[in-house]
Amino acid sequence: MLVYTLRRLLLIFPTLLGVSLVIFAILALAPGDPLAAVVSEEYGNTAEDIERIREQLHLNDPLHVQYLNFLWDAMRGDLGTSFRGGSSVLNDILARLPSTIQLAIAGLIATMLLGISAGVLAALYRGGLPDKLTMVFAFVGVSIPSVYAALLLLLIFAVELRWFKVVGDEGLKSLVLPAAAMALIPAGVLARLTRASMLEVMEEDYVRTARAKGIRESLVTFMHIFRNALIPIVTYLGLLAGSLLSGQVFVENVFGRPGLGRFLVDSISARDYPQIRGGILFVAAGYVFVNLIVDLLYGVIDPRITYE
Amino acid sequence: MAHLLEVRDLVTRFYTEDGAVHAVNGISYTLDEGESLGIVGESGSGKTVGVLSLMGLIPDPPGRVERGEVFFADNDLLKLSADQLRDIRGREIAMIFQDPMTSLNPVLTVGYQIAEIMRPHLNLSQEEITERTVELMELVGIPNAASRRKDFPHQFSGGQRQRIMIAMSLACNPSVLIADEPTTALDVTIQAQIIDLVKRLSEQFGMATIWITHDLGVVAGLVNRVIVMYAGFIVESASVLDLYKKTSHPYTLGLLQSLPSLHATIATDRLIPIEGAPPDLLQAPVHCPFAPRCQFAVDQCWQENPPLQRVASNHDSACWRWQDVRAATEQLA
Ligand SMILES: Nc1ncnc2c1ncn2[C@@H]1O[C@H](COP(=O)(O)OP(=O)(O)OP(=O)(O)O)[C@@H](O)[C@H]1O
Ligand SMILES: [Mg+2]
Repeated sequence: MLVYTLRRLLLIFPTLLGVSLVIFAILALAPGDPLAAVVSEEYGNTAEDIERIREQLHLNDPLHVQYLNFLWDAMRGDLGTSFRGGSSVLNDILARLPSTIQLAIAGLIATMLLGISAGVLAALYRGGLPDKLTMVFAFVGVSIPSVYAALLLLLIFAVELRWFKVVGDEGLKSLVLPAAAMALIPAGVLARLTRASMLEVMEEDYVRTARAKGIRESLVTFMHIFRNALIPIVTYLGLLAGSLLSGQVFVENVFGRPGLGRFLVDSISARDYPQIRGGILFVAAGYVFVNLIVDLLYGVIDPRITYE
Repeated sequence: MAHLLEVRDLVTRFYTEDGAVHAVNGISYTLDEGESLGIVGESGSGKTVGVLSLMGLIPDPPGRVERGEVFFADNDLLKLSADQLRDIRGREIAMIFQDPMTSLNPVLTVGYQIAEIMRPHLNLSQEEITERTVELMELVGIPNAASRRKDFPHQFSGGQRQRIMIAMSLACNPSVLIADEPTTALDVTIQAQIIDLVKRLSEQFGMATIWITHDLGVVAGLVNRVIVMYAGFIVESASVLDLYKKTSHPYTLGLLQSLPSLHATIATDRLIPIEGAPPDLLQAPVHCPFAPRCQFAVDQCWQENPPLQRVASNHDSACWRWQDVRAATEQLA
């Protein structure tokens, strides 16, 4: 298990190598000049200025040289400097990372609380009121775009009810609304998944065995049904955790949070190549890491899985 | 003397999209202390549903126990609250299920699963429960029980898993043990060992047992009395000897003829399968359910479903023509 974990951690390097190659290729193939947004004759820069800047940024080197230089720098922890401000990309990202991770974790917890409890209740009271409410919630949750949900939550709980500040930092409390907005769609999906998984496990022979022992129904539900229903739930949460790292852009905009999602979108629209490369590399590393955690969790919840 | 367990007119149905499945249609039988009873019938005849109904283990929906009484220790089990019934399940009436591969929870250690049955029923400390878990595992023949109790079901063979199920069912020293085809899913070589084990232990602890099987050959040496089920009805009930020698129902006769004979040599062995399709349980039974497959069927069989009636002392049959069947049996012998 330890060996497996280490091996999987080492896999981060080839993965990032592949990802960086792909980003490089895509950016190289993208039409247009990335510098056009920063310096241009229209802005009064002379042709010599532009050429000088290109030279400074090594944009005139052959692609493979650029790529190897990038790799060499990246290995020493230098992701280059932004085309725009000239700031260090690594520092820019690190500055946004805490907020991003906080929100991702809060969103994940909110999703689990809402989705799993609704799904479990729906399965236990199949066809009853909790089941119907959950299905309505899941349906509505999935149909509301998260940006709209974010605005709605802000309007109701911050503007109308004044439970939260519209702007300004309130510590952990300021995570509540954005996390709820992010959780809405995945919680709906998770509720349905949990319900289906619970209902499937309920049919298993070992659940009947458990009941035949005369143990409390709550033990049957938790130890026998829920423990086995967890497997698909963990898979989904793993996928979700990865996408939460980069997919917070709308929520970040509405709640004015400086996060990685917004960073990526901004750098893409400004064609700031070093920022794009650095941001995507970080997100990719995040995915690899989350995947590893999920795979290790499988072993905890399902002893039939072995790591060799 | 009062019976240990008495089932009266038990009716269980499943309400499915296709209609009501008449799984058990008014069965009555008794079980005395220390007695061992066989329930025999082909797949789908209601053997499992019949015993699950006693224990309140029919999944509802789609199933429902519609009617009947099940007397055990002066209580009608069907009228007990869920809590009261839980007290009896596992402690007084324990069950070994058909398929050991699917009847144990894959994510819990076998030790936990054995210990779990003791916690609500026996007043033991955690250490005593662990100790007893190991003892039980040794009793059913699991080597290195003390360390193996921490293993998971997939680390055991099918036969060993069934031994673990047996250990579990014995844990609270129940007065009734129900073994639902405990060996059908196992290797032939293992089958005899498992049957021996259950037989030896149930005798040792003085438990009354109900053996469910679709193989009349299996129960012959195991039980005092056999109930033959067909389409959710009891069609014949007799001692093993009477059932073989004085067969009084054509379905039982068919079952006996489909057995490899113990006397005949392999070469001349005549296995006669019962002709025709199994009954459609979606139809509410009006005529004798076996009539469509019966060589003895006459008009009456298509008009009235024969009730189970006494044909000799301790011998019941549900057949209008039981005398002809018996005569035919005696001729064959
Ligand atoms: N959950 C269920 N839903 C619908 N029908 C069911 C359900 N459980 C059992 N039945 C039906 O009840 C009938 C009796 O089933 P039962 O399991 O008692 O048969 P059995 O005699 O034990 O057969 P086998 O030897 O295959 O175990 C079958 O027709 C079966 O399809
Ligand atoms: Mg069965």
